[in-house]
Amino acid sequence: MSVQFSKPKTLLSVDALPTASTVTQETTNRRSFLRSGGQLTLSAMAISMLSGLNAKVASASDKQTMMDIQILNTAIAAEHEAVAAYQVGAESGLLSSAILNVAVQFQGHHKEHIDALSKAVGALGGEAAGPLAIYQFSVEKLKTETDVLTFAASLERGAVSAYAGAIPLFEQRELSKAAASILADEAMHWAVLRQVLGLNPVPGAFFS
Amino acid sequence: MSVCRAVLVFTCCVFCSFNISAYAAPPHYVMCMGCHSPSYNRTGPKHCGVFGQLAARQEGFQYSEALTMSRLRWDRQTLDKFLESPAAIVPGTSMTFAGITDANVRAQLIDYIELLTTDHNDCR
Ligand code: HEC
Repeated sequence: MSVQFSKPKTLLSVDALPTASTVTQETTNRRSFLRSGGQLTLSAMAISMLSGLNAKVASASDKQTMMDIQILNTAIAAEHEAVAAYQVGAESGLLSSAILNVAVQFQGHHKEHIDALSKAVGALGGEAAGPLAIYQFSVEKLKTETDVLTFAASLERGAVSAYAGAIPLFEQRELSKAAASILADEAMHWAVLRQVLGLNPVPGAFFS
Repeated sequence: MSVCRAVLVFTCCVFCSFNISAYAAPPHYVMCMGCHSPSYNRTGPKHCGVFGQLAARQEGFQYSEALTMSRLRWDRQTLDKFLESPAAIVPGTSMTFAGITDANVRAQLIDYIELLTTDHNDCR
């Protein structure tokens, strides 16, 4: 049975988000994470991602561009879910402060992905997908730190496959390049989480 | 160390919802878990109760117009085509996933989806 989890909107509004860098530098404890302010800055990656887009097709008029927008929006939807999931983990009270720091940093990366992908959708003339009002996580099953980390690891592993499945579909190669760079980030998250869980962090040579 | 691992394995088994090893799913289902869960809607719709039904019928999921209008019914053949290349059979689908070229992998995934009637363990 799953419980419906409503996202605390104030915590997830873009204005209230900490940047990844502020988070890593801070001696973040749960409270400061929950309260932290600061502006979301557009990363260098996001900017280079946009500058590479082909201006000629940067309007949502042709089929291929519509397709690129759809791929980006599916990725954005999955990234929003990851942000909400890390929020659940961070608020669970189950994470030690060292692990919480890492979780918050990873959540920050997902927020940066959303920002970059949304900017790309905008540059193509589309409208970026927003977060769902409700995510149905089985929060009652999160009883230990291991549960939370296993949950996070499964989302990161899934994201690797989702990006691997999206990369060949983009019309614009700049978008494939950007998606590959995000895939690398998700894969690193997954490996770190596995390491913390006592599992082989990189259990293979290829992942699809 | 081995005790630690035993505890981990136990915890993973208890923790059914997000750990693929706790599902009856084939290992390749991990490719779907970025967007799907058997039992609840995520970025993609839940898979329980899909087999044998018309496409785009899971309650509470916002499907693309393309899949909604497709009039596909999910059987082994339509699922096989869809999983091989979702956009080829449903142009405009929001399942923006390149597809699976290996027919054997597709068959294993379809075996699992076929099992997922609403009374299946993974659907509770
Ligand atoms: C990138 C995210 C993503 C990935 C990865 C993904 N899907 Fe999907 N899937 C979706 C979305 C979104 C839809 C809804 C499509 C639409 O409305 O056009 C969908 C729809 C479906 C449907 C139709 C369900 C219905 O209710 O009609 C099936 C079956 C399906 N997916 C199976 C799979 C399988 C099996 C895998 C793994 C090999 C997979 N998907 C991987 C996002 C994804």
